[in-house]
Amino acid sequence: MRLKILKVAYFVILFVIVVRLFYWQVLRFDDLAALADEQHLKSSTVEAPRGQIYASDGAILATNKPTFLLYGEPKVVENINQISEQLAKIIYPLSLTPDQTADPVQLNALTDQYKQDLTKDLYWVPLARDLSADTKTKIDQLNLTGVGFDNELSRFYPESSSAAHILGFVGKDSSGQQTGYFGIEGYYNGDLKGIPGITTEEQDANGRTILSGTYDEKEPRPGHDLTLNLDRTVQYFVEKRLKLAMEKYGAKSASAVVMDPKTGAILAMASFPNYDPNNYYDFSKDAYKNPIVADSYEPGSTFKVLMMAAAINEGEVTADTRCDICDGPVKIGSYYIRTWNDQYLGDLTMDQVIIHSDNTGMVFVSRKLGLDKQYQYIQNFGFGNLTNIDLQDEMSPEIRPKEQWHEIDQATASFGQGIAVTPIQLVRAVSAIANGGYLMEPHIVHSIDVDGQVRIIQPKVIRQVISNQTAQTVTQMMVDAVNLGEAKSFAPQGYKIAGKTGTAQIPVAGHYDPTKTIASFVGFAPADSPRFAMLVVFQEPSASEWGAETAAPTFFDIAKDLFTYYNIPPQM
Amino acid sequence: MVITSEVNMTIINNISHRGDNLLTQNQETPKILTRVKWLRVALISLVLLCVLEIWITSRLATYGTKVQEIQQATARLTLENQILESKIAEKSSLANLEKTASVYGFAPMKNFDYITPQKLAAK
Repeated sequence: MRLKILKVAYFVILFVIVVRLFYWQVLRFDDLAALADEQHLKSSTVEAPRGQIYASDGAILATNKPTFLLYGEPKVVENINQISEQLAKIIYPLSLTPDQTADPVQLNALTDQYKQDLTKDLYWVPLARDLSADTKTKIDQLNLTGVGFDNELSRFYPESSSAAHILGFVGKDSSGQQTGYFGIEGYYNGDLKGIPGITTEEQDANGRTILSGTYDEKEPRPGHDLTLNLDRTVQYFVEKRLKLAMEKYGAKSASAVVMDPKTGAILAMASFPNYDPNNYYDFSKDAYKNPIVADSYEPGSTFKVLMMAAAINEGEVTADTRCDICDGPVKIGSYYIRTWNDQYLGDLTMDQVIIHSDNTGMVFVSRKLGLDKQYQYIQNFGFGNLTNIDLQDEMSPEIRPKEQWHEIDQATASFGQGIAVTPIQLVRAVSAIANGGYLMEPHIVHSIDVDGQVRIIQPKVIRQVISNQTAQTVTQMMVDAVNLGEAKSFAPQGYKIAGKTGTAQIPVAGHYDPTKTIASFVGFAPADSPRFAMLVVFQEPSASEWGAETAAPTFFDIAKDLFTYYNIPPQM
Repeated sequence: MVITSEVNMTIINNISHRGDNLLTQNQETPKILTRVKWLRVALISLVLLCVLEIWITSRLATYGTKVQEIQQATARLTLENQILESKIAEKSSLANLEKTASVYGFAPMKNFDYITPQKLAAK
């Protein structure tokens, strides 16, 4: 009997053991395996280096710079007071600008902050971020126990604020990942960011790799490198002249863009006020926007050359056609169209209309052209649509539907009022006159390096807007405008420059403010075989409201620099 | 008497069987010895293999330290490279070149003249 009881007890116990084994080894297998993996398998993400951005001469415009995060280990650190003081003495001066002096109160505050952090009941606390290699070396030399560094890659722009609006900047998105914003960094973020790698390895209790254990490595794929059409020297000239001129003429803002009219390549693009993408967070968000692609304005008289080109192309007028309504203001409904100086020369040729920037002459041209054709050419020249330039923040103001246009709208549009454009749209349209009639797609990037293979972005012709002959005729008219118009005293001697001044009033609350203007000058040179087309725009210059006295001289100053740089001797 | 002979026969038979067995045993002893010998060799080999495996595994485990050292050295050199590249980029910036040029006495030219073939011919 006892034996039987023992036998039964034995089998019961055995059964219980088997059931428990089944439970742990079969039912809970996945959980325990995962726990085991968690203990001895370590995965780490390897950040992919962001692609670099180069200028056309190979100079680096954007690269990745190692920076260091200083951390403390409160459970390990000794002599908290001494360490805090030593660290604060090294790190505090980094926050000072060149014109600031050290403030003992702030230094003590930083020291107290470090003491507080290092006494927390934590294993790891961050103390300072974005430290340079030199600062790290200084701290390393102190041989402090309980502090260490994590390194990360930060975006670095060696040229500082130069070309800031073209480049954009890199910040963190909502999930903490590096992301490009504005400009090239934003537009090409997908190409630049790369793909992070993952390393999974088996480690022993001390954290050392077990060579015979599991090891899986997925290499990070670096981002693609970009080479721009931007010429660093041209950018330098443009920024230097533009900034000086903005201060000289007391303008609220200034912009300039230089384009190769034959290919659409953007050689330089500058706007002020600007910002430093290395520390974009120190600047107002308003500064991030690139006004050349993201802001619109009424172009004023610079638009006249396009409407004149349209009328000549349609055969409605020639350079010698005479205006028969130019002897006084033109009445349209309850409005009067006047010239900029209220002087009426009468019987002007079309060439003289451009030279004298005569508004009544342009009304004559628009009547010859007709609303349908005028509207069609406005669209053909690319207005009302994006240029598709490879920058993130481009916008395009809408052109009101033709059905909503009245006679006064047609008339004012002929001299660039009542119609809004972006600077990039205007310089692209004028470039069509420079290159024989072809509207080009503007491009910042010249080529993309995809894993060692360079993909060149080819020039793209959108359409032919005017004939080559029309382009040549209008070019000559623009040369005459430079040599005989209001800006003639500023033009460099010996060079054939085609250009047109513009002075547009600014619409404010449904009417034009007579005291505020946008002064501009658009042109290209050398006129016979243009190397560059350029637009200069000043917002509300206080020294003089006229484009002929502000934007034109600035244009010519930059042009002189470019003639020297491109080794273009005088032609006349 | 018969019983005695039967007993004798049995005894003789037994003796002869034993003799046969002894003979058989004597014949089988070298085989057994050979087997034992090979068994000993196999056992020793097995023990040696076990020791070898333990030794290899142990060495591999400690090589993890060397792997870590190499990884750290690689990371250190990569970091140094990146630091130097960014320093080169900074030194090559136009703003820095402008400063350096002025330190060396370079200045922008103000006036210059182009020498054209016509000018040369005129001379």
